[in-house]
Amino acid sequence: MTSPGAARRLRYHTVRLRNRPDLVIGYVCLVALGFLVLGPLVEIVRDALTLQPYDLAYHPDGVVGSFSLFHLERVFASPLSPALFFRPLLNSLAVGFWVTAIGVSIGSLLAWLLVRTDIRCKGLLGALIVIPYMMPSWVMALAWISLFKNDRIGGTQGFVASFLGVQPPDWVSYGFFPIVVTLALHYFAYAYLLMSGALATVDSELEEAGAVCGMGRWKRLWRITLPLLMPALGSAIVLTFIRILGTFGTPALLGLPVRFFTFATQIYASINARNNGDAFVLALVLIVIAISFIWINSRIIGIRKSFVTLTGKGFRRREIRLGLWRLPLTAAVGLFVASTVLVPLSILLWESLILVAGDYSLDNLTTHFWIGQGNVRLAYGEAGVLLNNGILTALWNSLKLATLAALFNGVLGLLVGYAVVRGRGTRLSRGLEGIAFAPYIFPSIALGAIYIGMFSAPIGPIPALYGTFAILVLITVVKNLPFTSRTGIAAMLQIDTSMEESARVLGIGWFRRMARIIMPLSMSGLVSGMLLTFITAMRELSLIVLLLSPANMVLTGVIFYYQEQSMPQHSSAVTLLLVLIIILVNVLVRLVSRGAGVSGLKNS
Amino acid sequence: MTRSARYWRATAGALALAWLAALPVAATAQEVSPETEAWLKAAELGAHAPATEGWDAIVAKAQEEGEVVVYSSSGRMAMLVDAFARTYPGIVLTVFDLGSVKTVEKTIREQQAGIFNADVVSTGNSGAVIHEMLNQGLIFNYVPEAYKSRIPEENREPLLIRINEAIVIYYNKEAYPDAPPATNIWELTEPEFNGRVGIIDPMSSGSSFMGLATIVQHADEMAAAYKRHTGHDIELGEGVPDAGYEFVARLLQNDVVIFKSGSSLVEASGQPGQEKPLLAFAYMTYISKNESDGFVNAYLADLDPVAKWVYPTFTAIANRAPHPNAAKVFTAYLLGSLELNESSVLEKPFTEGRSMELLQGLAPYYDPGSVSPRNDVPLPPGGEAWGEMKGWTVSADFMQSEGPRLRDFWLLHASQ
Amino acid sequence: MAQIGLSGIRKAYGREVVVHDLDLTIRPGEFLTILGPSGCGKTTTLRAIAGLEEPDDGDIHLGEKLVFSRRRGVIVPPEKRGVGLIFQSYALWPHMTVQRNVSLALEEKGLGRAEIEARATQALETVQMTALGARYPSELSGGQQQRVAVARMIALRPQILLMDEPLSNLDAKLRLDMRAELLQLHRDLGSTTVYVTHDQAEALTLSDRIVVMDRGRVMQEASPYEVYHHPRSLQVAEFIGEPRINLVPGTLAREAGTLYLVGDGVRLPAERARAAKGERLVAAVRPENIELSTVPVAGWQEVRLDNVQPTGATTILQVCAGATRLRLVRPGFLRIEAGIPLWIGFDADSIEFFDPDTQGNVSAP
Repeated sequence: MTSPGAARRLRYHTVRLRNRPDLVIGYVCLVALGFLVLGPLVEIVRDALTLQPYDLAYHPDGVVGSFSLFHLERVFASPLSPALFFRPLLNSLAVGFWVTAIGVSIGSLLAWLLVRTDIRCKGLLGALIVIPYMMPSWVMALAWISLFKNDRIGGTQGFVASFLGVQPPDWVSYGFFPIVVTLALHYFAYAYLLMSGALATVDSELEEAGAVCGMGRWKRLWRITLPLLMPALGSAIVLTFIRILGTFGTPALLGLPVRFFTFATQIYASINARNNGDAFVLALVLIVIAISFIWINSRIIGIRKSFVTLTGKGFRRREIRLGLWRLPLTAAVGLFVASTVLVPLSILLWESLILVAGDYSLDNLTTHFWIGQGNVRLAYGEAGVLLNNGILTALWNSLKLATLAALFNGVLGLLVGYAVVRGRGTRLSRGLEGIAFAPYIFPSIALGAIYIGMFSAPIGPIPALYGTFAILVLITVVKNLPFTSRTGIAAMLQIDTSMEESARVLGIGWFRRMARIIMPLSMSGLVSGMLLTFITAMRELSLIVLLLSPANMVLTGVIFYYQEQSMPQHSSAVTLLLVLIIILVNVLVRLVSRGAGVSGLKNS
Repeated sequence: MTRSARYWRATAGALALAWLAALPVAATAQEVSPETEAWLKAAELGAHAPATEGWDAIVAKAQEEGEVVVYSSSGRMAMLVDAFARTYPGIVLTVFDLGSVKTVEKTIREQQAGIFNADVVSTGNSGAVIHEMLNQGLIFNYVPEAYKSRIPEENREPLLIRINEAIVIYYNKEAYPDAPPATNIWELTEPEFNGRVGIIDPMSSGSSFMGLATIVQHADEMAAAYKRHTGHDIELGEGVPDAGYEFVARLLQNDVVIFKSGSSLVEASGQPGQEKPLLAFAYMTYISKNESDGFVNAYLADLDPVAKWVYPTFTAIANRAPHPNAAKVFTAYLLGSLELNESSVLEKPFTEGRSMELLQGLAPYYDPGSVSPRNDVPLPPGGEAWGEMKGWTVSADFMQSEGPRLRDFWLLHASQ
Repeated sequence: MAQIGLSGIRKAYGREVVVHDLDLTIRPGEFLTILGPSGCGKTTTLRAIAGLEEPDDGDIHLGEKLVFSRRRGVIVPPEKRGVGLIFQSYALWPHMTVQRNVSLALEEKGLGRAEIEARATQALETVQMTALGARYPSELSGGQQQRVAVARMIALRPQILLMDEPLSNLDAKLRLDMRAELLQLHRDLGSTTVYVTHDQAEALTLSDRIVVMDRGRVMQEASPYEVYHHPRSLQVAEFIGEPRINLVPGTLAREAGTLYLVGDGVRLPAERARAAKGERLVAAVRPENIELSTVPVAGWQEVRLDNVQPTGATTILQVCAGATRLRLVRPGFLRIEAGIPLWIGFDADSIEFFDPDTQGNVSAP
């Protein structure tokens, strides 16, 4: 081809790009995310297939960095495999299955009650229901241990043992049963969030049409409502399941005494031993499982072409009357919510006020660990939480980190949503959507480990971020991008292209369009995405623990430190502080957004 | 397959191959790089260490450098910040408290990436420290000259030990008031103690793992102890290489209870008022909880073959440290003042007043069961038993070469 | 065929009363339209008949059966009432094919599988949707979706057929075609049909009787002819008729023995007005009832022509008589220049008079 022709085509494409800001954003995001998301994946694969320093114990003559199938053999086909891989895998899958089944059921039921029926106190219950999700997931496990500890562990008596005089059996106190229960009591809130959003969009008229044809209540539920909820239900199941596979804290606390090991605990143990080879092979298995579940889910949903909400008049959301059941159900839900929220928080409060462990008498209570100046004889002289400079600095850092991450993530999610929706159907759009979701499948621990390596050295103009605050923000943004990109896409789908087109015809440039039109219209979706990022960032530990430094200590790091130093009062107090702050911010944001006229926080 | 799909597959494949092909060739870091050589010369370390040190000049240069950055596995190091500033005004101490695994990880990764941030690296984990860091030239041994005569050679070669700690076995004095429940370690593997022995998870606690490794390291002595206890030779299970591993296997078979937190473990063994409290493999320093938490723990001080398993925490100067002289000063600080000797009177609280001036960097660690490498420091009150208890020390070589196998062994037998 | 009886129906949402004390009897086999602007309570009434709304008070009878009575505590749920309802949005189940949308509706009738499928297929044939039986609703156009909704009714064959503005989502031309089809559906089923709409043309063409509602009350209940020619209130008069009726406020006066309504620049014969001289009234004249001449006629009034809008078969003219603007509709495609003088004449029998305060019709029958 003639070169003037090629040059002309190139010029045409560049000019064309100028008119298509969504394409520019799309490409830039794709490249950046490719690096930030696929880079770690490639490194994980590479390290899994090469000899690591740890392996020299087995292969004294080996060369670090050379290609080797050693890790694969070790994990899948050695005498160690049942202990290292198969049994933990089965345990993880079993836990995942049951927690998902129970948690999604409870969450869906609650969502249905609060969205579709005339149950009372909806506002209050709705606000309280999501609190379990705001707590670090292992708080529920700590509460369980305080309640049901038996003499296998020994030491001070658990509540049940000391007040009822009966030692709970091992299977109640530790292992599979309590892990499933405590995780379900945490993750149901997640399912609730997902399902309540979906339920709010089910058109009552579809159910009414069934009623008029003579279908009874259960048949309508089975034939009409549930199938319409399938996409949301599928998402809820898959997302919850994947999260549980990577959960570390609770199985570690409750499984260890009876040697119940899960995938996550094995990965963590390997990383702790600096056995990266094993850890990354296991991480890859998790990633493959996650990807296959997502793929299966999209196949099942994709086959049904018809879950497009038919727009047009007549959307009706009618509440189902509960009649006689109204008060009992309200009470039951209230009781449930209170126990999942109040019990752990009360236990935390109690633990933070106890001078000597195990003494449940009232005169053993003290406020020293909250407002004491610090007594050298107690807890290494650490000052009380509210007066402690270290803690207050960490608090400030946590807030800074969570807020910055939420803001960046919100904007990034919106941009990604913009590029994906405006370019809908193109390969760029699909690729971007996929990559934006990819970080979800990485176990946080593995991502943190990889980022150390990736950012230890400068990359082009970007300086080495390792040890800086910036890398904490970066990794938090990347890990939470799946949520905000989903809300961003959902928000953009609601905005008709004509809104923007009319502005373009009026001569309004791209930045002004985004700021004046797109952002305000998508505000409620944006806010809910940012809030979710904020909450997750505040209670995140495993993602950032490898990247923390004393200058950048955050609250969860402080809690970790106190637990390691066995200072239970301080760790409980700071945990309580963390939870209260998250709740406070949540409430504030909701109030402000309602005041500003943003319609109630919708869920993706 | 459509054309575009084929195209994507080809690109993906090419990218993958390119990545895998670009695998780094491992450098044998025995060879010292020219920058390190220059740095060693300027800092007067390693091969360039002078015959006699000019301590005052070092302190003066340290004041000019103005700061010292420490990567430490222990959180208590941060307590020294204010005190160090009082003793050496002008030198700012910054401590990165990372835990033993991450201290090693961070040091190695940073230096690999060409970042030389740390001055002092202080951590346990013998195998990695000696083989992956010292032998690879990532850290250099430094003992201030004035201390050399006060520290026995085994505590400063090949690398300076900052503190020695140990794992011991606790029992509940109240439950066994007359005599300790066991005199030979193999009793813990017998039915009487089924489910009544606790250990800190060796997979997550490096020190607990080292304790276990030390037992396995001395397989012959363990076999001998067994013979003394039962009267006949030990029979090894299938696939078990020696008596040391056999002990581990039997301990697990005897339903040893695994704890995540050391303090919960000693609470389990030491809480008064229990009927059948556990025996605990835990850190010797936790005896101080008897006073603070009201526990009634006691050591099995007279145990066959040994009663304590010692693991060191090292301290060294990092390769190409930006403030090498401040690092030297801090190392001396960590070892305690030169005024400290056997007859020094030390009173609680050790982190204040005269005791602090004497103990300096030792003060936060002056606990029973936590012992200075120096031979002229009195044993902490309550920790006098250290001298009387027979013990073994972990070997860095063993950790490096056998450690992974012991891990696997534990994993295999713990999961049954 | 079944009769529908509502008595004393009242419904309020919070403090807003949507239906005030409604009494209505719909005769067996009748096609009754409830007509009114948005928010007049017509949809609420329809849904109450179906059982999808629970009135605060009143009784509802479907045929012989009492299906709702607040006083007697009877509430029969919609699934037991046996009515058919076409929703405004058609309420097609998006996750099922067209065929299934129809056949699922039949499953509660206790028929065998084979018969269900047969009836469904036959219903789809009737609406000419057989070829699209395997499609999903999201793949259909508005008109096609509507036809599926109709097919459901054909398959169900309900005795009582309710339709909630079923044509409002269609474009103008389709609306006209579908109107006829809906009427045909009513005839074929032989059902009692209640049709809700805000489109007065639909009401006029389809109904046996029209009930005009406004703000929760019934304004008039009569045949289309009656409602059109003898509206009982000003609201009804204004609501019915396209183009809108002319309203002329004025005062009654006697001139040369004849009663006139004297407006602002115009004078109408007011013999039919049942009121005394000097009273103020509002006269209502349909545009087609005003005669037009290009040359002066005795007794007719001169007006100025403002504009001419030929619509094909008829022409709408807007004239000005003094300060009063009037609309006329004359047959044919007229070409008249605006601005020229014209003369208009009124037919005394076709003028209705209303009391401006009570809004009621005060004309002699």
